Amino acid sequence: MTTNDLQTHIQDAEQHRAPMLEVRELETQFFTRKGVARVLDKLSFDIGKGEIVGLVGESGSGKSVTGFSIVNLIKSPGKIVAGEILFEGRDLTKSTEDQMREIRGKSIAMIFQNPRGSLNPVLSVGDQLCQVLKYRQGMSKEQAKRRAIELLTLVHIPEPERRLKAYPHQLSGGMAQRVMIAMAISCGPELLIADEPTTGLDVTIEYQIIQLLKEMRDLTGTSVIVITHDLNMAAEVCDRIMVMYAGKVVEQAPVDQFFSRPSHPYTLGLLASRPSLHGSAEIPTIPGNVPDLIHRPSGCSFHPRCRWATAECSATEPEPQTIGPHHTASCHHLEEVQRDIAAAR
Amino acid sequence: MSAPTANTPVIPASATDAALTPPLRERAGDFWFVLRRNPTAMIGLLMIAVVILSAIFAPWIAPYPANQIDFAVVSQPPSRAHLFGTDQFGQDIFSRILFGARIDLLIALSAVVISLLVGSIYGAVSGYVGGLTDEVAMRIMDILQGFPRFIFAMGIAYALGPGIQTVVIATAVLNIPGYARLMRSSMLSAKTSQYAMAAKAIGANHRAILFQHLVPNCLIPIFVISTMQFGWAILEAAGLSFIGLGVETSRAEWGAMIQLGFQDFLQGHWWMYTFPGLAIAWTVLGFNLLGDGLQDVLDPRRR
Ligand SMILES: Nc1ncnc2c1ncn2[C@@H]1O[C@H](COP(=O)(O)OP(=O)(O)OP(=O)(O)O)[C@@H](O)[C@H]1O
Ligand SMILES: [Mg+2]
Repeated sequence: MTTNDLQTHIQDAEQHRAPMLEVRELETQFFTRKGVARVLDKLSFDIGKGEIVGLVGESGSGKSVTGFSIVNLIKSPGKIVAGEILFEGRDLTKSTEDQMREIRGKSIAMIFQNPRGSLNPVLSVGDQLCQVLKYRQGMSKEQAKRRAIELLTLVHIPEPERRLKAYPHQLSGGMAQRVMIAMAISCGPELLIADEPTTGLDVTIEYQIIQLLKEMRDLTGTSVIVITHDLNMAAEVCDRIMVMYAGKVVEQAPVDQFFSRPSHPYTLGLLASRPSLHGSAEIPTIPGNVPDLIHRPSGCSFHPRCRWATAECSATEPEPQTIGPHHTASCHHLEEVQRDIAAAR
Repeated sequence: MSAPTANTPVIPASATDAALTPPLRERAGDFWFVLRRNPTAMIGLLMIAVVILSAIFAPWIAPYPANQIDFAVVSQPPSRAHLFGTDQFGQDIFSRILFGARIDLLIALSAVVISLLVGSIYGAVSGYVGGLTDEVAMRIMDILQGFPRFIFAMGIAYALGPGIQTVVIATAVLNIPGYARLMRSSMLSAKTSQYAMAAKAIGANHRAILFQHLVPNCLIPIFVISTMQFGWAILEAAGLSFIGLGVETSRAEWGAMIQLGFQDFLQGHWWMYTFPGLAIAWTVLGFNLLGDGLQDVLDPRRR
């Protein structure tokens, strides 16, 4: 064994912590009046213990729907029609609502896109936080209050005793998000799904929230799925990034690999359209739009927007190709894409 | 504190994250603080306070007992001895109005409590359960509301015979559908709200969502409406007494007093019905102003 091999091997063992969540060929569809929207299309991925994984993609690619599917809160007209969500070996798609209620909060918690809307406007922060503790942890009023103060301290809310009495509209967006995180971790979940936790926050606050998520992971060993369209943020916080397009993971890679060797044409497009700090005058965008999910393109869903597309792409769907350790991309023309990138440099 | 959080250098949140509004008072004090700055609510509250105080202190402030018949002074116009005049039996109208506040407030309170309890439980269950149950429950309310309000109350009153209980029951039944609908719609909007969903996503169970989230959200509109209903209940009860289906005219009740006074309408004895009428108008207005004001005060978003 060469040193290089050994390194890869160690890295391998480290990163290949047994998956705690395995999503297998998940299909979530919305039965709308215009037809069946196949929003998640045989979606598969794993989440390891203690990992922070970024789920990125354009608006409408199905990121939130993925989160809702995992916690089984897809509402009519939506439905999980096929596939498995294995959480610690147990298929959540087959769980009853009672079992799911046990799992939500205690094992998996999700925080939603808009933190202010997630808090009840007529109840104080303390009431809402204590309520979770009382109902889920069976704490007394006094215990719940003490624990609530601890939790608020944990998420770095200054003067927690005073904040307990605040109403949601009195909180800034960042504060509201901290409160949501405090609530979400109050029952010690093993997996936290954070749907765009920093959208609408300014850069400093965004950075603090990101740090907070990392800190929570380091402290409790919770796995985190961070849903975002902000690649800069994903680079900051994630161990691994999954790129989603039209309800499928088209590329996934450890974070350094992701930025050093992006492979899927869609990933390249996303990276190119990232607003850079150096402020280039115009941001190149990916041509075209997210496909119509009711009449999905044949073959590779991305082919209508792809400059490398050939007849093969519209005929058959590409399988994930291994590029490096834990790095896969689903594309028929990975070599051509790499060659063109090299040529452009 | 419990957890070792020193391992990561996080910028303290206070440095940039926006601060709260100034000192948070205790909740009751907070409520009073906001109420005091709301002129509508304050005027309403004062008007009602006058009515409540006269109900409580009637025996001490009224110059005459409520039912003192004195044939020496029948049908007297307002004078120094009889501020609002006297009726056909020589009873002092000012005193009867003060005592009347007792009966009228009692009727309104009973009617509002009954319709509130029955109506809102009915509406809450209907909205929370949803589906066919909801559909059937609401169609029943449609039927109740299909009749003209007052005719419906008259029907009930006629069936039950005159008396205070009759007025209470008729007025209560009249208001049940309103509460049921209000509670149902609050329930429906709270049920589909993001915070109910968010609470679910972090593990709240049925009981927690129902009692901690949905019910408190419905209580504010219910409370506001009840305040206003209180006024309307007085008007409806008086209406029933006025047409002779409610409280007997021998009792000092405002509607019954108007009915008695109206018998002398042709003689031009205007004081007999005008003063009890003004008492009703005063009270109804007071409750409506308070209700309007409370709407702003109770909703934490509007403070
Ligand atoms: N209730 C619904 N009915 C019909 N279609 C829906 C419904 N909810 C979601 N969809 C469809 O699912 C697709 C993915 O939605 P989703 O909210 O997951 O996107 P997203 O990736 O989270 O986008 P964003 O970044 O804007 O949050 C969209 O095309 C949307 O039209
Ligand atoms: Mg989303």
